[in-house]
Amino acid sequence: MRTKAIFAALLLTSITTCAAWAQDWPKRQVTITVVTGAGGSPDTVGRLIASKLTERIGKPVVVENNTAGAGVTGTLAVSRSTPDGHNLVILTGGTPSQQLLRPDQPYNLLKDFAMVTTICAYPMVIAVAPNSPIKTFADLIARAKAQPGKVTYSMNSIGSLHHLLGEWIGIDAGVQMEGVPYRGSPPAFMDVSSGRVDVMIDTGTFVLPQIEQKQLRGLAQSAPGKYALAPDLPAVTETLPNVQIMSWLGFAMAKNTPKPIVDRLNAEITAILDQDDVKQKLAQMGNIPMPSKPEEMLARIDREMAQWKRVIDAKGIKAE
Amino acid sequence: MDLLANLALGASVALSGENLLYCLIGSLLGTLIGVLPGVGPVATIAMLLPITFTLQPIGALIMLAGIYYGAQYGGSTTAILVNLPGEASSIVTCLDGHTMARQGRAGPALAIAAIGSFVAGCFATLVVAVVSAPLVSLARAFGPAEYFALMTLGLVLSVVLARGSPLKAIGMILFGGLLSLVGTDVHTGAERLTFGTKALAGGFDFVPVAMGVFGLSEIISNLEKGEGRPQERLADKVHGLMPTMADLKASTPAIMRGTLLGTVLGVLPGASSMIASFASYTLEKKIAKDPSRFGQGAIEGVAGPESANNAGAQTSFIPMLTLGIPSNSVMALMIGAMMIQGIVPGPQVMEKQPALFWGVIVSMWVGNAMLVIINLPLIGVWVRLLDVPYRLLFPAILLLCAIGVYSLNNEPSQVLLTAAAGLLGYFFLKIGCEPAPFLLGFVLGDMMEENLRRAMQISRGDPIAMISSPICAVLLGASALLILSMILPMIARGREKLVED
Amino acid sequence: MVQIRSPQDFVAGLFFLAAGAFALYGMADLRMGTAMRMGPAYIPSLISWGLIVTGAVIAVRALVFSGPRLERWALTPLLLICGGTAAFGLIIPQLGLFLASVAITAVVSFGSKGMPLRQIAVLGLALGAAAVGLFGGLLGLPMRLWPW
Repeated sequence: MRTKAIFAALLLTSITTCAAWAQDWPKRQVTITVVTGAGGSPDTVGRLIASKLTERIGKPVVVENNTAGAGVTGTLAVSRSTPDGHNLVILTGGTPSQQLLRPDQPYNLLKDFAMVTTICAYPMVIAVAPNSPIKTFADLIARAKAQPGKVTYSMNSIGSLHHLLGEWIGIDAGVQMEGVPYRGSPPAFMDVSSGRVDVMIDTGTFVLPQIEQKQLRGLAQSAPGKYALAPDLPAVTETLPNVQIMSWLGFAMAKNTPKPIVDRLNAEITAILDQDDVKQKLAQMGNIPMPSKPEEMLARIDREMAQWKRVIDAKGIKAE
Repeated sequence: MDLLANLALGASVALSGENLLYCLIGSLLGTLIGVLPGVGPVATIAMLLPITFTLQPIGALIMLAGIYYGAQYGGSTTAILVNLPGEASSIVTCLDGHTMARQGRAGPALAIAAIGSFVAGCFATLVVAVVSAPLVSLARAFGPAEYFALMTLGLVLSVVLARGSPLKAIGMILFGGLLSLVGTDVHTGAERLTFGTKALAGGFDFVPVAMGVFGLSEIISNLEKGEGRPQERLADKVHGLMPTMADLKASTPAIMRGTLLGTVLGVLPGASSMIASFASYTLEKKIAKDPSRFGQGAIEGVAGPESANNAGAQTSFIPMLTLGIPSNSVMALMIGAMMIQGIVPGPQVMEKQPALFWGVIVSMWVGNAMLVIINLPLIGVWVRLLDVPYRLLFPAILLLCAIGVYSLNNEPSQVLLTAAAGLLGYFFLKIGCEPAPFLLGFVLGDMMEENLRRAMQISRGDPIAMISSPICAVLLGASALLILSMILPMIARGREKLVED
Repeated sequence: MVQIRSPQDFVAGLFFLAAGAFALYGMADLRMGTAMRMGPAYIPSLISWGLIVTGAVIAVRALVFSGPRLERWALTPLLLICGGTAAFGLIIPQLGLFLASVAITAVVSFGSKGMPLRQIAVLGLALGAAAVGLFGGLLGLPMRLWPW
């Protein structure tokens, strides 16, 4: 009897404290850390969500760009912040492969974070200059076969999704293409659109609006099938059935953040992503909303790490 | 004519009461915040971005553009008054602008910067309106090899403009270049010269290094000279707030030349606005009757680069307006703001939303006019600031510096880096080495490496590709000529000197 | 007998030389690569050798041509200014903007001769309050303002 009473009391306190946590939150300003520069897609999406979240939770939500230490510093700071739900970081589809390439980084993606939700998803897109002699994706593969190592494609840094997709296509199609690294998409676009580099592999966020405005011609996109926002663009899977990637943006916080706070944030962001104007703005950036449960986000990262490990091992990709 | 109709449409948008107000608020806020040391245009825009979310897209863009010009001009004010360059293109402004301020001529320096910027802004806006399309093809013609050649020319220019020994300037450029390569290598992912420090994986940032090397070391050296004594002021007795006729006469051709240089180079993405201001300074020094005045408070040394800088700020809109591609981080932020407003930047904006497109262009001109209106009266206020006893002024400057640097990333290590850079800058002073070439090398170093490697990779290792395009040939040829023009007299002088010794 | 005729240049030359040599040492385990496919160490090594050569030439010239001598270092302002700035960086994450501002003002003010303690205290508090009002209040920067 007595044990039961204690048990009930404990249960009650834990429920009330949980509720109290969710009620207490937010106590002050909420900060979203973006580890890439102002103006990039994580930054723009982060600011969009921040402005909506501010209205809903009644405390200011601000975006803070912390590009120090190639993004490691800002991510680390959030993982080590007080787990009270006031510090978020935006992770991207490129985060899992970085964990593989840099096992010595000071945090473990799978262990040191409380995932909140994924925000949106977009495919990677393979595109060429409008006047390029390469007409189709099959054409690209044929050229790359005929001239091993001569076809150049623009990519981000070593181990970025751009790079991994390029190499994965290489593995499955049995060809070798030359990746040219760029710091960001704009300079890559200039070189591809003027024909100095043959092909651009970049995020749908950047490339789809360029295709829309006829500044680039799309060859293929990496979604599992047709992509809703670019129904005319063939999928890579039509030629290489296994090659599919959806990149994404997602929120994470310090691990041990109380579950009620995680759930509240998850619910708020899910609701924001359901608003028509948000959907429309994301669509203009080539993104579709992709809210998910925290467990789903973690499972996604785990799955992607396994997938990238195969590509990285097969091609011997490493950070020197 | 189409153009007139378009401009009339733009004027009807930009000159509406509401949009004039946004333009005014933007320029004013931009100036006031941009004047804070360490808070450059990117930080200012990022800070004020949320205000614009509630506005209509046109109003928001006009206000953002106003913030941009305001912040840029505010940065020049800081460079002139307290020798703190908030961004790379203000380095040159420090050289003669701050010297003028110390001679009690801060007023004319600030005024000529405002006037030069206005003239440059008017011209460049017209260029944006009329010849955007051909200028974009210039931007497209610049590949990695061309950028490498352009930056090489930039470095050579900075050696030529160095006051002291060219050899030491070369050493400083190389040292700056070396520091810029610290951090993760984009091509291989290798961490270079970080000695296992994770905080260095992203390399050194410009602002803390520039603040330390220029600002902190200047304060230390001022204190050393006894400026901390009770009644000591930073500037000599102020004579005149406005430029004299002689000043205007000397500045006018410099403003014209600077405007042209800035207009053309501003179209090119990357570090071009800085190269424009360096080029303008070198040009003025080269053609001056008495080059030794430069660095001693020559007004042309402020007028030319400031005009170049502002002309470049206007034409840097061209790639964004016509291609939807940002040419620098300010433009990237503007594009982000447009996206949040639901506008996809690119060639279709002009056709689909002509009111927005032409409204923004006309508002560029309005914004430049606003800047003059705001800033000419403010000059009196800024100059009075120099009248505050230095012992009260310098702690405030240092504090603003520290806050500005910290606010970049909320990263304490950046403030520590500023302190270390201050020590380095003081050491440079003591061994008679100028910081300007060092900072130029620092800004251009990693970009040059990247472009060179990319050029070699694209040309499959063929070095001829580096000089085969006409643009490369011209730029590299000019660099070679400049080097020769510098070395030949030096050798001759060296011989004479040796004979004397 | 070798004589240093231009001490400033001599030190500058040695500094460049040392910087180049140190960088080469720091990159010893990085790959050079080829001109076509440059490794991470390719360009930095070229620059380092450039520094070594430039430094050596400057140092040797300093033995031949005469130039300015080295001035004494003003250690007090140097330590106070750099130390005060560093103190700001160390204090602000834990104790907030106000105390960090007071600290940097107090430390660096000792650099000006004969400033009374009371004046330093007033200046520190005033600047601290102004900083909190401006950056925390008006601009709303996301930084800690107070220790609590």
